[in-house]
Amino acid sequence: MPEDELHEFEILERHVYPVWIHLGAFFVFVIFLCVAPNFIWNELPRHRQLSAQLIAAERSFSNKNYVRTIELYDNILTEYPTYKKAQMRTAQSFFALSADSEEGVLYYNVGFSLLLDDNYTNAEIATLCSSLPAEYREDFNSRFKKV
Amino acid sequence: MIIIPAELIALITFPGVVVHEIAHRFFCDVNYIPVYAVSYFSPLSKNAGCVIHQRTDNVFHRFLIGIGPLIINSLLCIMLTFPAGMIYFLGTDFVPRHSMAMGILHFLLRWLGYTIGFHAIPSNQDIAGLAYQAKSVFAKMFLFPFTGIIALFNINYIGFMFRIGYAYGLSLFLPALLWYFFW
Repeated sequence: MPEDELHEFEILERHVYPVWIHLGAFFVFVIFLCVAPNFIWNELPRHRQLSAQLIAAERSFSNKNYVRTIELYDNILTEYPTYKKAQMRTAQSFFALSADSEEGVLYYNVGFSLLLDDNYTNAEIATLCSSLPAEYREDFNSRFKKV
Repeated sequence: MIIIPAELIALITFPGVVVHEIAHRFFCDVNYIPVYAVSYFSPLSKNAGCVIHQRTDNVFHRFLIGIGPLIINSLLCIMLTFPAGMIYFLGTDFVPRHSMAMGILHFLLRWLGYTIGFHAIPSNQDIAGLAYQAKSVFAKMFLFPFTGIIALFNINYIGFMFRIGYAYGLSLFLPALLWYFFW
């Protein structure tokens, strides 16, 4: 825009913003003040503890220490029973324990009972299936379709 | 591919547009450059907002005014999305909120943070001709690639995705720092 045209605008005073900008900034500040301190002092320690539990549980699962995995995820499920990943990992651990065990059917049924409350995608069903011993797969597929 | 009109994006993310213009205006004030007119947000307009200020030959001042949103919006985005970013980073975003009011406040803060971060990137117009105006070789060497990257962020569809990625990355920046250096 040419210099002479620019001078047609009224020159604004420095640092003077419209009232709604001040109100907006105040509104954002209030929301931030309500959320952030409460989050940092009250919620964050709980989240950190939970995160450490999740990491430990996931590590146990990767190391094929299924009894420990069940223990850790069970603690999480007690507090957050609808957490899908914990349900899945616990079920997978029970499925893995059902292989080479005399009480295999029992483990399989306990694992399966954990999955009845939620909807699962095909990829998730495939993941669950991957932990299952071959002898239970057919039963799993037929029962899961009915759910 | 779904094309979302820029006007609609600006309307949904209007806090980011307002902060973007405030950032330009703020750096004009800091550098004592008179501001003639400011449109903080024009709903459903092709140009969502603008700051008209006096022309300056000082490349550094122009640069600061141009990248003002990159500084201010980015800092605000990091600050406002910290709770959301932290929860995501810790993998505990499934934890329910204790009350509906807190849930709404968390959602509002997240929306504000991400929309502000989304508009952190200067427009092509903000830094147009800056590299050509620079006199020193070093300034040119910095400004040419810089304006190139900014131009990349302003390409229609790719830019939209880059901006979302940038805001998302910003939200994880502080949690990642805390994680690696303090915990």
